[in-house]
Amino acid sequence: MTLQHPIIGGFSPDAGVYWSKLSAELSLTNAKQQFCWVLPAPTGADLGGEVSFTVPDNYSSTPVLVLRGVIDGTPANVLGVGAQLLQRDVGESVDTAYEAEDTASNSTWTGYADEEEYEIAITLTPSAAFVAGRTVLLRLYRDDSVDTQTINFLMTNLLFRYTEA
Amino acid sequence: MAALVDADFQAIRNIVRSEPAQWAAFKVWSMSKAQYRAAFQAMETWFVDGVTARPATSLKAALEAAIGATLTIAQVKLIGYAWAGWRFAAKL
Repeated sequence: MTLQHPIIGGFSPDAGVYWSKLSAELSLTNAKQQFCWVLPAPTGADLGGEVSFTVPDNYSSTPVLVLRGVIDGTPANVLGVGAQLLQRDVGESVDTAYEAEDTASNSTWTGYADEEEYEIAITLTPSAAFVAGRTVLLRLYRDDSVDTQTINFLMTNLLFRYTEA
Repeated sequence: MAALVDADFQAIRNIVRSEPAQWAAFKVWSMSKAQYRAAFQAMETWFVDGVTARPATSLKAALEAAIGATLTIAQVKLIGYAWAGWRFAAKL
């Protein structure tokens, strides 16, 4: 069975990424004051933030990172996102480079519009299989080399999706 | 001709972002990142060159050539006013 759980707690933003409320970013008729992280379109460098989570005890396989949020503008062009990770066991140093990035993008916006909920998933390919109980340090971002949008993405959740044992 | 850099494009965007009505107009535009950069670079070039020589084309024509798409008068004004807001705040 596929499970997913939120890992957005403790999200540490890059400079240029900021927290806000949906109604402060969108012109809503029906106000919504939920918290969101504003991910602006990158303009020269990858732009996102970092987070850490613990691999669930019932983890088996197929790790996927899921960004959920609200589109802040008429969607067009390419939304490109990336993630880099580092799995650490107790006794392993965090002063180690992240592994190579995994990426995802979307350029088909049929059926999507401003102010709509949206989700994009990145298949993670750790160099060593995830082990239950270990810490995963993760950096996620809008990928400057791929993303050609000019609008913000309002991230309301970040999920770790996987197949249970 | 001054070439705008990444920080300039971000600053212009923040200027637009700070004005709700302008940001709302910008968000529905569907302009790509490349078009956005070409537009403001063309705006910068048109103004700087125009200081000492009559521009060969109208601002609207220059922006349309840079972006590769037809613009409405409102869109031309949005680019011009955003550029002016950035220029005034950043460079004076």
